[in-house]
Amino acid sequence: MIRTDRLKWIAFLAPALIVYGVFLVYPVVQSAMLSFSSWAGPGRPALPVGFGNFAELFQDPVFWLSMRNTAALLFVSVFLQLPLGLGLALIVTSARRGRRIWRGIYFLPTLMSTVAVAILWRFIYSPSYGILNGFLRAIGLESLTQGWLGQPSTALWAVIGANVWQWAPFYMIIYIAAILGLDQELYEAASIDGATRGQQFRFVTLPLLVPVLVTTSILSLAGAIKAFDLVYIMTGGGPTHSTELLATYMFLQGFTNYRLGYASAIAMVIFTITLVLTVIVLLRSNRRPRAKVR
Amino acid sequence: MSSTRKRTSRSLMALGAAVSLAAVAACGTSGPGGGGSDDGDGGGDGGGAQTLNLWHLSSMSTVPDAVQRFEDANPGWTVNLTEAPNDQYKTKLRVALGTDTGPDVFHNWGGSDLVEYEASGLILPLDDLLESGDLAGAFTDAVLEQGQVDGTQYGLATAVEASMVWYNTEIFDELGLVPPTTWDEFLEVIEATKAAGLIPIAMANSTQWPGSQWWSELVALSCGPDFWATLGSDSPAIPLDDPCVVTANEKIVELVEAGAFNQGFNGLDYDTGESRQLFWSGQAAMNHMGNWTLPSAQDEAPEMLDKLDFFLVPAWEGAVGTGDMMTGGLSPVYSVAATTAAPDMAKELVRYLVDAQAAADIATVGRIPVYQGTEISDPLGAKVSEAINAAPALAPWPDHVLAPEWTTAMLQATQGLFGLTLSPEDAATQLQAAYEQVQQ
Repeated sequence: MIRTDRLKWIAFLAPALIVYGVFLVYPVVQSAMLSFSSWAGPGRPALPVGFGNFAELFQDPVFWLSMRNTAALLFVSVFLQLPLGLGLALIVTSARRGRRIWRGIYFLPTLMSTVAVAILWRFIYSPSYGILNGFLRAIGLESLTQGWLGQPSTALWAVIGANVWQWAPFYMIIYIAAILGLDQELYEAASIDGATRGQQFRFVTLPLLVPVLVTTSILSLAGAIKAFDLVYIMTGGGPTHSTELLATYMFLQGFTNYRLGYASAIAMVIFTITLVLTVIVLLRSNRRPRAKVR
Repeated sequence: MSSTRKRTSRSLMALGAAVSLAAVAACGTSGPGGGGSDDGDGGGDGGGAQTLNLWHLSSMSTVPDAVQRFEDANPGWTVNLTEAPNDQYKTKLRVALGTDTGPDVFHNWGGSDLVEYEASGLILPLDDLLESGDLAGAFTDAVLEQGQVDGTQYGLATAVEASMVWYNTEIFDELGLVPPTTWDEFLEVIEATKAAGLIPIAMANSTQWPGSQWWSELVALSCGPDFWATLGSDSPAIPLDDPCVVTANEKIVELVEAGAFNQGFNGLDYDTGESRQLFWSGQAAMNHMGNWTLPSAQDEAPEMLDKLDFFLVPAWEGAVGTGDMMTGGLSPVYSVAATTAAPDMAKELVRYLVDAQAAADIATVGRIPVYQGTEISDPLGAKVSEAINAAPALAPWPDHVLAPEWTTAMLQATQGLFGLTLSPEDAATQLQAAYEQVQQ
């Protein structure tokens, strides 16, 4: 009886495990092996170099710049994008009418493909034709017009802004679902106890949302560290590496410089950072509710 | 880098391709076989090999005509065409060349690429093709050399490209300007167009090669035509941190500080037409670009053809080079992959891609064929051809001479020069350091 159960269990899991193994585990392992070699692409020999790639990487100023840029994106994603998503969710859920319409409107950016978002924002930031500079000119602030994506001082923040615009609504939808799923009796009880709306949010909504906040934090962390497409299309990592992220730098080294071993070393760094951060978030969040229960 | 003619409608596809590659890369799975197998090239090498796979640049619009002639002359053979725009093409080729999914015949740019392919045993010699039929004696030695590795022919070219300053004759006439012949006159033209409320020179440099084209041309002027040619050899005559390179770098700073370019140009994309748009619409008076500006104008702004002309970047006092020299390279160059199952037919296909008819076809779209004696009916095309023939030297584009890693460093450095974030001295030092690292 137990044996057939286990066979069924394996039979049902096998397809997913095979796909996961072939398309995720195997490439990760292969990347890890490759990161200790120097390889210029198919048809060329892969030469073992030990820790050479990593030694070079940690002295590579562009690598550290892309680390810094990725950290900035990560910080904004977690501490600006998530609160913004939560704020939007609170606004939409507290709307007395037209909740669906507002939700739909706010959700639009996330529904667009990243390529479209990137091109849209390239147009917005365009120095000659863009609406941002056009708006500044119209209100007499001509002196503030910039080549937003063309100079290192503004390019990174311009790209991060577009990223927030695209992804905050995604988190909004998750938060809306979570908020609507909360037990209304708790709010009734809170208001009978004389809690203001602010106190209700602070002592009822927020604690109940912790599991969702953890999930979205992980999504947002991993998303920021692996971020590639939007930046690649908007700036290609430029000008002069000023918007280079870990992932775009990996692509540059791998597919422009054909240093696939070196690129794999960067991939390993990305993988390690994501893994460590995710584990930390998971461990911390698992502890907290239990402490509450006791 | 060099040959990027326009493809507005295709840029979206290009971006899409970039993103799907990104999806592969962004998951940290940049292992071997990462991206080459998803290109629908139809798998032509099965069994009897009555099929050839040809990879070409999507901007080479006359390729299908040559293929049609090949198929008509060789019944039973079909050619699968796979095309891609410039930057995507390079990535795609890199991943697939030397594998079963790769091409039999493919576009390249000659020079350092061929040296690398030859060293890895990825390409076949074409010497026998050159000695047969109408190709014997069709090309000058200078053209053939670009497709050779150690004296063996590995690539044959259809056309040559070079960069120049295109200008709007209507604007020049209105402002009473004439094409400058000295650097000081050039600066005066810039000043005059700027004073008239125009952008002097249109520029879109987010992909970095438009700026690097400026730079390689200024370096060739500053240091002399042999600079790039010997830099690729084992013993370069002039190092990259030589004062003549610093002078060329200073010229870029001079142009930027004179306000020669449109605002935010380092963030604009040539591929989506953000610089040509300014030039076609008459907001910019000049545009420094390759001679593919001609086919671009035919496609995008035919009305511009009546008011289009060019001059060469003038030299300054103290420059080793002269104002009539040019910078450029061959494109398209065609080679045969070593993995082909039908080497003889693949070579035969190359013949059709570079022969007299192919040359005549490519001349009609504003490109400059290298097949000797080809008639060019388009007056501007003829003028470009004359300028190239009259040039005392055609300095190669540096990315055709040096390794991709150095090219990346060079593209970044030139973008920094144009952005005024990198000083002329530091740029020279960085480039020499990158050069030494690659040579190791």
